[in-house]
Amino acid sequence: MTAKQTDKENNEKTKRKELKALGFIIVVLFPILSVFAIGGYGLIIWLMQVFGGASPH
Amino acid sequence: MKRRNFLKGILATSFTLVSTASVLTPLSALAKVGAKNRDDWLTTGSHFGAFKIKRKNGVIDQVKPFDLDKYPTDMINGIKGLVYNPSRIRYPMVRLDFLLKGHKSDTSQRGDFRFVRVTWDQALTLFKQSLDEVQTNYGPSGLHAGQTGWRATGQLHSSTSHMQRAVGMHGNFVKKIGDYSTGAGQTILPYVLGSTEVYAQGTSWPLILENAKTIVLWANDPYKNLQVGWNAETHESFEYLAQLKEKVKQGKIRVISIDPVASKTQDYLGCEKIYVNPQTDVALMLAIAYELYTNNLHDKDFIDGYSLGFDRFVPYLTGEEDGIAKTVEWAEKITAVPADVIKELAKTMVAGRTQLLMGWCIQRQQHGEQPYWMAAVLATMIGQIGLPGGGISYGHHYSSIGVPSSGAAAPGAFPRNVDEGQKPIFDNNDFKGASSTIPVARWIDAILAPGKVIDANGAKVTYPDIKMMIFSGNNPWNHHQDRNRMKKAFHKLECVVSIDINWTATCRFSDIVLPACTTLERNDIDIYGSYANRGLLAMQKMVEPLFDSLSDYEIFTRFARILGKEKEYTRDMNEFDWLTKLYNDCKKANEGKFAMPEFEQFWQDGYVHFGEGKPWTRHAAFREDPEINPLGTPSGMIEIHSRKIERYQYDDCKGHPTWMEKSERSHGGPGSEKHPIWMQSCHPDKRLHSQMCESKEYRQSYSVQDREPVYLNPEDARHRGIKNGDVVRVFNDRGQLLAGAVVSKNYPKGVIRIQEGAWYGPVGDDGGVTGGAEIGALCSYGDPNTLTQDIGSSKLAQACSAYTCLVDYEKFTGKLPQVTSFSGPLEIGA
Amino acid sequence: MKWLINLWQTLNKPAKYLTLGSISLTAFVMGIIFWGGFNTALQATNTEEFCISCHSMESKPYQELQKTVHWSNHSGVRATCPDCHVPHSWGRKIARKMEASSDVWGWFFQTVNTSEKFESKRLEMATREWGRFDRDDSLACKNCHNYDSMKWEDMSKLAQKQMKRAAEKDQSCVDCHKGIAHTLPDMGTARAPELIAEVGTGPSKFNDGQTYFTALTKPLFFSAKGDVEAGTLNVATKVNVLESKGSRVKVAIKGWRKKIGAGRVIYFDFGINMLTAQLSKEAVKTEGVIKGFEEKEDDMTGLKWQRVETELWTDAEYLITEQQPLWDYARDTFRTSCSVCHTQPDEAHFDANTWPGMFQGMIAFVNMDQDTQALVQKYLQQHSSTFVKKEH
Repeated sequence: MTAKQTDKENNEKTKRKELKALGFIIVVLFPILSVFAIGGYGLIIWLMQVFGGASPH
Repeated sequence: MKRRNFLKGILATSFTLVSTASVLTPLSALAKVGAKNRDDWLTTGSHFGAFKIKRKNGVIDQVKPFDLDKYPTDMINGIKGLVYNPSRIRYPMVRLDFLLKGHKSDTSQRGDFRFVRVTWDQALTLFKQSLDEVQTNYGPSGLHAGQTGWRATGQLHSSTSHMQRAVGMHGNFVKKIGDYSTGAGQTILPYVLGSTEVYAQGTSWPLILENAKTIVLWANDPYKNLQVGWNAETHESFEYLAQLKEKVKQGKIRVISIDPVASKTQDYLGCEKIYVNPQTDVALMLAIAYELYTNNLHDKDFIDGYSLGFDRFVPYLTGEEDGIAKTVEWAEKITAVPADVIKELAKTMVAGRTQLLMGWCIQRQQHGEQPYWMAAVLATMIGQIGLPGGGISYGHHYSSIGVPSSGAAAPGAFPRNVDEGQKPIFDNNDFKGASSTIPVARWIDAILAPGKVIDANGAKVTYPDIKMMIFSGNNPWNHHQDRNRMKKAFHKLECVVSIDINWTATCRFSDIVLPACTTLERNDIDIYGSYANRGLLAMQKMVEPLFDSLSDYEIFTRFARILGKEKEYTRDMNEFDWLTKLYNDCKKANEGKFAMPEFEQFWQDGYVHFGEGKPWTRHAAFREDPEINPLGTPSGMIEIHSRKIERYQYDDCKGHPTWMEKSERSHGGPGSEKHPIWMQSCHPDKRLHSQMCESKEYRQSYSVQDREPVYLNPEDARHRGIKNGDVVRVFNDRGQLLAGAVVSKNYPKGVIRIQEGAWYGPVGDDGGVTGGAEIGALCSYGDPNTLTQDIGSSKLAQACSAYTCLVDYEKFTGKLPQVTSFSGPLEIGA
Repeated sequence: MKWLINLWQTLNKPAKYLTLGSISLTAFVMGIIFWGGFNTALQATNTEEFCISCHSMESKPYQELQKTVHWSNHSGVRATCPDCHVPHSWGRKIARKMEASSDVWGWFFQTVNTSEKFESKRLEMATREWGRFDRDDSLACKNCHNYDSMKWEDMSKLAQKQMKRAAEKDQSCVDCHKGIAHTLPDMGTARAPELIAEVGTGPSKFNDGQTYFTALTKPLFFSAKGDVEAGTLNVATKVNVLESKGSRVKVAIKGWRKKIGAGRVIYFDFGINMLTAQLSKEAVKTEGVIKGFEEKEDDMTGLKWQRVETELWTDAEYLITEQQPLWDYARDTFRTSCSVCHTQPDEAHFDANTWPGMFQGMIAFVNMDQDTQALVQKYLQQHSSTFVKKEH
């Protein structure tokens, strides 16, 4: 196995990792985070309404 | 103005008497074919009962009682004839001379029955122009649109509500207070028992039947009068009368009927009878009170705890006040009730639970306040007010009073008042110093003597100068007294408008006559069971309005259109919108208490049943705690003596009940030398006041030689050479009428009965219709109010006094005139 | 766990292989797809089809809606479920969606899947919905209905008066208009709801020394805490609030009483049978509760009257600052209810002591609850010939 070959393998590995990470982020993580963020925002408004009375629109 | 051109056409050709409404026209031809072609049974209701109707070829074919009406009245047989009869008003019509000369017409022609057919637009425009003229020239005191009566049932098309709302949008007008049936009673009783009593729900029959040992029916004929009701009647009271009959038979309850005549109820119950001379009931009551007092039988604890003024009454009773002790012997001379019978009666009343049930007729006489007041005093002395089966009631013969109420909310009605914030076209409230409200039975007096000041219920009433009258679903030419005096008064009126279904005598004496359709020609809702409020009834349209007639809703919507106020009038809703609203409002009020389906379902079913009510005792709360539940009297207690009335200083209604001689009284009283016979004009057995008299076939089931029956004492009749079936002329100085003799032992010497509600049909000396306008004209059918007196009961109530009336009678030997009451007008055409 | 560390290591370093262009492009495209998808999904849950796909929504509220003016009317505009039940502003809409998670829960566990279950929960659900409308100042209504666009002239005077009063305060619509699109829940024994809807329940804080009027007949108590009743305070009665404590206020009541029986009934004035308060026997017997002053004999009845004052506690509700709204409501009720059978008499046709007798004798066909009856009677007395001099 040459160093070049190892490099190439490493590159392949990194590429797979990066692709996987990207896929994970855009397909799983960020949508979940977004939904949680939006939901949390809604929850905060709701709770403010319930306890505080007034709320932002 | 269109009238002028219109008249030219008429005047261009000679007047021809076209015809009276043809009596021969077959019934089926009279009816336009109904819109719906359903031949199943549909429900509706009336004062006479709730019922079901089956149609055939668009014509009403069969009428049968509503399923829940176990005791339907015989009058159900007259329903069909209310719709199909020769008296129907077919078109809007205007009195000939009024059409020619308007407000300057020859008013002495009023009643000559000559009318001209016009279109609805012409009639309503003329109506509006007349109102304009009166409001402009005289202001609101010139218009009396407050004389209202029994109408036909139905909450939406209630004729008086429509008329007053529509006329109220044009301008203000004079109104009435009180009514003809109970005028004296409803005025005196608030002073004594703190409520009008006559229209209040009474102790439930089951409690009376369970607790009473004795029931006194005083001038009371419930078996006759419970046949009709203010709403759709379902006759539940008759179940209790049947139970009472059984208890009388078993000797469990004693029923004593005090009455000059043998009533229908007496016959039915087979009860005890005490004859009393007409109009002398107060003397009899006083003697009973005297007997109780002198024998120490009165309930002193009750008198002390619940009443005021007994100490002011006793001196009168004992004679300390006026020198006459009201002993049984004293009373025997006046009342013809034997002294020992009075004594026994007094003992009976305090021997056990005694329920007094008063009829209304004894307050429909001069000093009519007194018997009601004295009866309350008697009940106080007996001391059982507020106990089940004891005390006193003034309403158990009326509209299912005494049947436990369901407790449900009843539907509202089409609004009678102009909506909040709206102003009439003539926004004038200046009655020129005259009163805007006058006692109901004094209107003829007012027309004859404008500006006159009379006493009424503690106030002064100044008569307005009335120039125009409007009647809707109301027939004062039945219920007011003294026809010839009415004619004189009507000469002074510039314009009279009548809206009705049939040609009543009031229409005959009107200038503009508008045809309304009957209840069977429109959709409506009503409660059934009257005071019991047993349920809600769909009043479904059976046939289209006959001829040119319209529903009350439609008539006044068109009128409002002429006023430019149609939208304000209807609130932009049609007949079904209103029915739905009235139903839904009622549904809302009953939410959580009484289940009501959606409107569509209700309309399909024909009714909603609210179920049974809970028995209840009148005045029980007062008896339990008079401090927290005081009566509505000034003191909160029963007022045996009223300082308030005493302060009025009336000579004909003093501070305590008093026996007073009448202006006319039979059996040795004033006026009996000249006219020895007392005429009783009670509520009819086979009509509701004047409603259904025009139902031809049904009328013929009881009329005698086409005339209203006059019930005669056999001895009196024989003395005058009169047999059953003869035509009799009944007369006094006020008028004369023809009636058909029915000789019966039920009527004592010196007493005759002609039931009110018999249609006035005056004829001239030649027997002609036009001569009916003359003062003194003979009534061809037998309206008793041709003979009655138009006087107020007293300065307190100023109520109708129809029962203070003496007459005489003879066999009629002249040429018998045709009855003119039911044939409609002489139609004058081009 | 290892993959997470790996992932973190990958994410923590600059991309070696992926170009900045491809990353940002992917992120951008995916952002669009995500946001579009999110909104489409949100939108889908905001359609009537979605709402009524649930059996319990379709069978009850939807059917009820179809009988109302919000379903069909002459202008042909109709309201769908989300028009009223989903707020239009984004934040509140999201909040509403969070709130709706309980609906999903309910659907999953079938809490209202039968008519009986639905009806038993109807009040709870409606109350929640009214609460939300209140929080939103009925914005859902006001998207279509605007106080500023209302044509006052076309309204009845009563409607005008009530609407204008509401408009001034920019009042929430459901304060008055409940049960207009769906069946109103059975709210138990709420007293005189129409009266209260018009005159209100009164302020939540009371000023000591100020005058208030009772909007309903109210129980009186001996103390600020105890539940021993000392009597009842009649409707439309003027009282002076002396102090507030917890949920009660102490009020001063003035009037006259008849010296008969125990003297438990306090009337408006000497010789006038207008009910102010009724005290219990205990209250009258308790030393110091009633302060008696001068006595006079009423000429009309011969009864002795005594001027009295009392101070008792009552619940701090249904005490309003103005009397006129009570009279307005009573007048309208009198004119409507008492003209069903006959023309209603003028208020000034009878005097204050005659009205109870006339009114009590005529109420057989009138539908009024106890409070309204008491109010109308008092209105008639207050506007009778005793107080209003008028020709009649």
